[in-house]
Amino acid sequence: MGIEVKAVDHGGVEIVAISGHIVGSAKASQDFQELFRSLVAEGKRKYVIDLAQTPWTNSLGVGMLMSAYSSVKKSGGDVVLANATQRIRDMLRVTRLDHVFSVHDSVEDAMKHLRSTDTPGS
Amino acid sequence: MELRTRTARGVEIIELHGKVVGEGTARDRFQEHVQLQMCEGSRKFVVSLGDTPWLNSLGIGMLVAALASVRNRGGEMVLASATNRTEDVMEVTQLHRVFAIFDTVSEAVEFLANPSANLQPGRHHREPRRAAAQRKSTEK
Repeated sequence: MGIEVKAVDHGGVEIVAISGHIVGSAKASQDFQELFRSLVAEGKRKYVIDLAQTPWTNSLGVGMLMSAYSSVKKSGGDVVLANATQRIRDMLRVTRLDHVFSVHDSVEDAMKHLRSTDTPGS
Repeated sequence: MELRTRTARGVEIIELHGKVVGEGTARDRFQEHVQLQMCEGSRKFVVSLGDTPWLNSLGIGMLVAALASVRNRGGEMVLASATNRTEDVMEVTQLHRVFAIFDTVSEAVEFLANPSANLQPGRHHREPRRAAAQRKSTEK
């Protein structure tokens, strides 16, 4: 489906940048899920998914993001989105997933949000 | 995972049997079924999870993808008969805020089929099991 995914650790927060249209083909979804599964297994708990290079997504792509979100949540971590285009924001609003994903205007804002939700001792 | 489908009062009921692991062909069959029903004009869906011992993260993605395509076309999809285990997963992932979950398929059908019902998921949510248990323990 032609998306590229890069994950970079930035001071304890994993920044996962996706470029390309996220259409959530079965293969891409499983690869993406596998990436998150291995990061979670390494003990990574905080994630920003950077969508700056992602103009739009379809419903399968939303499912793909939700699968990753679900793996992280089950491990006690958190995932937020950054730089979502208006099209993606509209998609999240229509599906009411904006109640689940917090969406930030920049990666910095997203990281700030994740740090502010730090629980003492973690 | 096996799909069994039927229609009641204009509502499409999809029963999922077996583990919902949302991988490859299972996910595609589910998605295709929903798309096909929408092409034929259906906009109301109940997914019954009574015979689904558990669902993994890809399974959750599968349900959310279907929900997204249904809501994009002005329809609604709700869940019914989730096991305790599934309900816990929905709560941990906050998806109980996105999907309305009903105890039985017939309640879910009633909710969707009754035109006077206010189709506002969230209103008809029952209290999540864990939250209810916590509340009870703090009330004591």
